[in-house]
Amino acid sequence: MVDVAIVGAGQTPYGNLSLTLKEMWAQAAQKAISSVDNGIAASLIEEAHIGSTTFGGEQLGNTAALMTEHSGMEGISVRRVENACASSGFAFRDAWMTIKSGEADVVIAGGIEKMNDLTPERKRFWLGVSGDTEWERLAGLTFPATYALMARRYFHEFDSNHDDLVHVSVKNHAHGFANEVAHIRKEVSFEKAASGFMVADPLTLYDCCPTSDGAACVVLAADHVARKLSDTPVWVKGSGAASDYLALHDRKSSTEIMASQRAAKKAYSMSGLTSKDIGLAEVHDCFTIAEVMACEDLGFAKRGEGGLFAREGRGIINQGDVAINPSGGLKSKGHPLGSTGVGQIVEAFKQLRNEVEPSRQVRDVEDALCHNVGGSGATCAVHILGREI
Amino acid sequence: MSATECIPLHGHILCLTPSGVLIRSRFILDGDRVHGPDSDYTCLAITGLCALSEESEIKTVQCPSGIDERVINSYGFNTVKENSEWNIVLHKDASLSITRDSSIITSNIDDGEEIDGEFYLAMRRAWDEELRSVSQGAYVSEQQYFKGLESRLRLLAQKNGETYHWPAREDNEECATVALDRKGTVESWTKSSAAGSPSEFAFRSPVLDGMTTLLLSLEGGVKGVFLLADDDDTIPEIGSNVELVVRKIYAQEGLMRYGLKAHYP
Repeated sequence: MVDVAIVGAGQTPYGNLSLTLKEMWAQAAQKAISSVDNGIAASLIEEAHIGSTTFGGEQLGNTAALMTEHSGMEGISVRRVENACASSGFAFRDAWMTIKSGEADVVIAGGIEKMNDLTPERKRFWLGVSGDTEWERLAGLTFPATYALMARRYFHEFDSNHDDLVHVSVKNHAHGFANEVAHIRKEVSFEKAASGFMVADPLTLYDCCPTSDGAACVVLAADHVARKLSDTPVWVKGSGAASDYLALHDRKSSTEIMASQRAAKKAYSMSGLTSKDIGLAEVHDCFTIAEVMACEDLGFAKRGEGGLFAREGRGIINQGDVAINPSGGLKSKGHPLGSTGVGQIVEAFKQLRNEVEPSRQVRDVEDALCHNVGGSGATCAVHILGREI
Repeated sequence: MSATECIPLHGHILCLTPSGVLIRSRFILDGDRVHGPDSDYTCLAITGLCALSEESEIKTVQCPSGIDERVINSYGFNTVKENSEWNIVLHKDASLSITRDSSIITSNIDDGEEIDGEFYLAMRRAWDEELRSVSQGAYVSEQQYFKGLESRLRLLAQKNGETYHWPAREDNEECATVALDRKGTVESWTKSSAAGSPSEFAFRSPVLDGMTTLLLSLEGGVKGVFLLADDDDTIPEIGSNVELVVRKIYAQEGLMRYGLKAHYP
């Protein structure tokens, strides 16, 4: 079966942007296309898979068609992919499968979200819509509160406390400080991160990712095309995706994400790699406790030792076992919901090609993992990328 | 008839007499008994009917206007328009009697607690505003609310062997339906900041200084999330036990929505 590579990748900065949806998409797509080493015309792209939750409802229907008509791809087969915060992780997987199936040779995967142009009242109605509306939302839960339930339970079950989450926050802000596309480019001290405003007890402001605007896009190609388009393609070595019960209370455990474990198992199996082979991982740290659990679910830390992993700094770039969130993660780089998954891929692509800012370049990295979670763990896509296939 | 002995129940006050029950709010404002921050006559009526049903089966009950009959029905009590076994009579204050002959039960026992006047009025205003609000995003329709109300209030679960499913799964129709005990043990909890709760609670959350949600372990290994009742200021602890009582959850588009909330007995 055909191998698939990423030959181009680009994204907008993440943040509170003055760009519209169409402007953001056009910018991300243009950057992705122009980054292809040997050049490619937008007209050669055959399919587009674009992830978005269409936050705020600006363009709920036919989102992808509107985006592609503003990036020189009108007329191709398009669709919006929605799986909450994992929308574009799944869009990427669908794009990869489109090439694997033989249906197309050059496909784009993208993601986009505009979150900061709503009134505060309207924004509040759209936050948390990816939980179980009938049973969780009406019990007062938005995502900070849902992850706060996980965090308190995690502290109860394991040798961990809020200080471990502070270590995650400090690390990711340090990583993101050097990232020119990060939403919050600000280092924070342990003391400051430990004393943040309480959002949902025990999670403070420094445990929560920001709501960001942004778009990201990558160009995927079948191996025979990829080698012509790029001198340094990044190969998709493994792809896994899974789901779980939508509501946290329907799951057996509140301290692990089974969808992550299932998706990772598939991706590792396909790639022939294990967690020990991974040099960097962009993990879905929508809240700091999510990174602690992800490090366990993805095999970087033993069960119950994700807190210890953070405490010991084992995810710091070029110091730890594996660089966890060298981009700054969702915590610092930002979290434009539908864009996040492909945004992670963009970061991994650039890291594997030694194209990021030198101070946060992970040295000697051969293989990278991207972990994109929807909601509180109802969906998850994991991808493993590498320099060589 | 005058009741001479009253006890706390579901966060209200229950007075049992040979002719029926008197249920009153425990809150007093300027000498008058007033409803609690998330309670009303419907909530009081369910507590009274629960108490009566401990004594003997309730065949039928008649509800006056001011009580949401659909909620009473969904909780498991059979309402009729006439010739009922029991009749609910609303008092002028936040009390009601449930008697066979529509008589009123009174009590001279001084068993209330003062509620802060500013807090009380702020909550009243918030509920009024909330009732007029419309969704701008996330939404539970009236149809969906009523379809789920029986399962919500009675904790109707499906039992498949030793496995329970609550809320019910649509593909498990052949399973036995069982009502779970309305008691739970705290698995985890959080308190959202005033600005951090869902938009449905946006008017009341600032008045309450945030809202507390508990992840509970229920009978049969089932878990669920429930708000802590607004009149309960207990700081929860993992492993502690709560009861689930009927309270107002939120209001939207003119419809008050009820559900179970956690309450420390």
